Amino acid sequence: MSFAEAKQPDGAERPSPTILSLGDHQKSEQHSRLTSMAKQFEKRDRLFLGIGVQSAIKGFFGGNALLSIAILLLICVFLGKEAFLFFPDHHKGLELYRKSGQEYVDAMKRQVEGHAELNSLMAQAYFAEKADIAGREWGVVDAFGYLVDLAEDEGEDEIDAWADAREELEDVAEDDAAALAEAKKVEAEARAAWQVKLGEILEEADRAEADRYGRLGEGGWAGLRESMAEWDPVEEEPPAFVVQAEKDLQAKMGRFEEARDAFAAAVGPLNGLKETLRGKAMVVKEEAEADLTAVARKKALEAGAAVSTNPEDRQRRLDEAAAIVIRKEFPFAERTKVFYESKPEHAKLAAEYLEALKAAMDLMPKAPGSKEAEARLTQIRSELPDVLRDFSRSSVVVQEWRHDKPYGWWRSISAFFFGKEWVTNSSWHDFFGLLPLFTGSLLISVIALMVAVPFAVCAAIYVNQLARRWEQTIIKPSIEFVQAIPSVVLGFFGIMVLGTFLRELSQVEALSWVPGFPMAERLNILNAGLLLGLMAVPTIFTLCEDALNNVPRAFGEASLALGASKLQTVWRVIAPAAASGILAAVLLGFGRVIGETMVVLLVAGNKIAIPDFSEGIGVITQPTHTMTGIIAQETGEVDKGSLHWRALFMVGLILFIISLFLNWLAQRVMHRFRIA
Amino acid sequence: MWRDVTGYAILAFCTYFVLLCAFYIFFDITAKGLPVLMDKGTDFLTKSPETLVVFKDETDEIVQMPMSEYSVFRKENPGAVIRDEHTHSYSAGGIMGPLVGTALLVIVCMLVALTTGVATAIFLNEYARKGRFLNMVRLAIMNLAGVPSIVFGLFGLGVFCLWPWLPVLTHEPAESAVLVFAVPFTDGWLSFQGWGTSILAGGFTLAIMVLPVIITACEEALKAVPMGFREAAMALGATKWQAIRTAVLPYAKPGIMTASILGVTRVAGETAPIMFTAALAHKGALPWQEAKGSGLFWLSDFLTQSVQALPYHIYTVSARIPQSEYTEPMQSGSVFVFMLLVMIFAGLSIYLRGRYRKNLKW
Repeated sequence: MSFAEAKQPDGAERPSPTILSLGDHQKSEQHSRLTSMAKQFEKRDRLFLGIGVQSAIKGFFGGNALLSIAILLLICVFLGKEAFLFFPDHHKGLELYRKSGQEYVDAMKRQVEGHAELNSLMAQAYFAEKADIAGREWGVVDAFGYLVDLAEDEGEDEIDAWADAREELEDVAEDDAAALAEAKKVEAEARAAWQVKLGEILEEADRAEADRYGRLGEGGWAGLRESMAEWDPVEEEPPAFVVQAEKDLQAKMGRFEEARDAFAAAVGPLNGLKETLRGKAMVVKEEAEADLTAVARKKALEAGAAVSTNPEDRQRRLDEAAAIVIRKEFPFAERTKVFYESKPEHAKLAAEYLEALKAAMDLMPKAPGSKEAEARLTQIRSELPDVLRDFSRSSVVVQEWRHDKPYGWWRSISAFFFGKEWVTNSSWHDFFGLLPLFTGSLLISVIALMVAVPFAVCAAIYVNQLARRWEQTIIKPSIEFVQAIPSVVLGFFGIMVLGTFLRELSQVEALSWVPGFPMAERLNILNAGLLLGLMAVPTIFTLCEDALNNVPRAFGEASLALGASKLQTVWRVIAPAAASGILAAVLLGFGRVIGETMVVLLVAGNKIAIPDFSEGIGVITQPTHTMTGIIAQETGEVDKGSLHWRALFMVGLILFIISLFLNWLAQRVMHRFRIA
Repeated sequence: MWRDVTGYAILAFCTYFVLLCAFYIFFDITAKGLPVLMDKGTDFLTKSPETLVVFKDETDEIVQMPMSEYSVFRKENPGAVIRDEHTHSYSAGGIMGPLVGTALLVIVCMLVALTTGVATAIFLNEYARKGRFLNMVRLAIMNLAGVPSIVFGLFGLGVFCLWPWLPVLTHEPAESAVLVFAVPFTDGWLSFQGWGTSILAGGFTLAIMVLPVIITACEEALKAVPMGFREAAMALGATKWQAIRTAVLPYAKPGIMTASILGVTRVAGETAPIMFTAALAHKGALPWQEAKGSGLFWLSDFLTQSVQALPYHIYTVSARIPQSEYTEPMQSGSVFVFMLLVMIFAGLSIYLRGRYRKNLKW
């Protein structure tokens, strides 16, 4: 019978083992204390308003216990309320997005952007080819440009003096022999002074600056420096050496350049159309939004005029109020006519674009000299079908767009859950797509767990099964210390130390085979994942150790009795027996990691975009943003009750649901597979 | 045999590697922070953060000055040569404001959390009978323990800061107040206007977050008191509450102390829940310098002040302002002090618990 179930008066009959076991010398002292306690206890239960004091006290404690349930429910209610209000607003926003023609323009924008991706590959290919097959010539032209700038900058006085002297010489009358001789002398002196200066400049010129990418080679640099003597700074004609290099460059790269230019230009007209329409859609949207607030604004102005004491100000307000037209419904049909009218033009431009693209592809060199360029061109060719497919899809969207087509609820809901963009405070349209944030959170958590689970589980096994007693007394509290490290301190460490360390490590030549290395950003998924891994170790460790403790001793003893070694026993008997507990520990660790805020806010890089998975595992060296991070970063700065605010609460609700789910799963795993 | 040895070595390596990493972090932060503390001395702990002005004087030497000193300097030396002047927010002065703010938040939080936490633990351990209600409470506590701290932050923002039905005592009720009562015999009002960004809101949010930890630890402390104590008390005729008060709580006190220190450790290190509920990046005055009124009105005004908090200050100086060599001392110094404080509390709780468990022989 537990204490809780003990009935009040019955308790008196049982002897207390504790008191009986007290030592003799304590007895008398204890006795007097007990008598005084017994006296104290003489007051029995009193009634107040029909409620016994005892039940009132019990009620108080019970009420406190109820509080945790109440809080949990309140969290649901408060987050749920904002989330519940989010979807209708979000839906309205998307409807306006369609009605104002922004959707129409964005479909075109996607077409242009698809091309832009290919175009950047093309540019990469072009420059790779240029560097590879015409590197020396390119270097000469670049270095020449640098030297010219340098000379014109530093030898400005000399050049001016020489130019003046030459002008003087030309102006001097032919027949004035003395003046002519004088002018010639001055000119010669100026030229000599210039040449001395040029020599100095060339002597001091920093080769590393002039030839940043090391394309010149020994002969190139020497040749260029020698040829500089021929350079006439007044007429600004390049020396023959450079002219030759330019010619060679043109000969080698001319065709490629033509292809590149054609490729880049193909999308021009379509882009132009998009830009024009974009401005128009913007206007429609702004007007429609203003229309929504028209009534309120009019009222506010009239109310302001009513209390205004200044007649001028009052008149101004009244005029403004009168100027506000209140329409029953915004004339979308009329205002979006221009988009319908542009449909044929778009169809025409799209067809032209496809042709121009094909022509540019034909111009592309079949066998470029550089491996890098070839790889890029192959990439373009392989990506082209996808881009074209997206292009024709977007074309369909453009052609089928109607401002009055109803926006489906399912679409607006999935636009939140599966939307690929989270764009806020934009003058165009705010998108609230969870996917980039969710992907970021998930990637970081997975890395953290991949780091933490082996270490935590191994450590738990070691401490619980193999470590000596003194090791246990050191390791367990130490791990608790690790748990106590505040997350903001870890984040700081990530910025200051780990980020720099990882980046330097990634730049080591011998490690360049590692995917994602060298990393461009200091703050990235990997950095955050490693730190969160360290954070998750104590959680997983503690729970794993509990799980191992719960394995009956007989299991281990039986295994040892059968002749298994200690390690065999641990790996084959005890660890499997604790597997459910370990799995639950991992799940709870996952919950801890995905809900962690400060480390990811400081260290993940905060770039809102779905990471580029095309690099395979190298994706982990990219920066990202997370669900927790976005709440922490943006909640302080948005207006209460705005769509953005509600979207952030919605993200919070999803985090809450994830944590509840993980908790539930952990419990289930633990119960389901527990060893009796 | 070699298999056993390698297996053993791998397991030991994993264990010690984790500790090594943690040790390295301690070491690194101490190595960077300690010199700053030595350099700035007690000023670092007794002054509040302010803007740092960096400029070159006539001898081209770089001079660093806090904004307050700088304005005095300019007034006294109107003709001084100043070149390349630039400023760094929050990088001068010390961390007095944040330290005070964190302390206040922790105190409010622990007052709230201990009251409810101990009461809940008493109910769970002493009163509750097995059944649906007990299961639900336990489930709720367990789930509450798993909720991300930022979600508590959002919740606190929604409830404690913005929900208008929370009362304050004030002489000037806000316009947004939903209900205002005059307090008799004073010229003040009891105004239901919400707490806004304040110590109270932050403290309550933190309290809710730490509640599961406190409940679990307190329950452990109560469980450790032998059943015989209760039975003996009741045998002497005590009512249940008397038995708990005289025969259980005094013996559970050390355990509850430990629990509260564990709670402090958890709470002091948290940033996310106070980001929107209590903390400001910049605040000129300490809370008691700004509080107005007297008596309870003063207390209410004091508790509804927003504060700077150390973890939030660290976030601000290490991520929200442009970084340079001049901002580094403030960062390293605050991180070091912060870590030291939290670690001291963590050490204390671990030590106390160890001692308490050792002495747990009745």
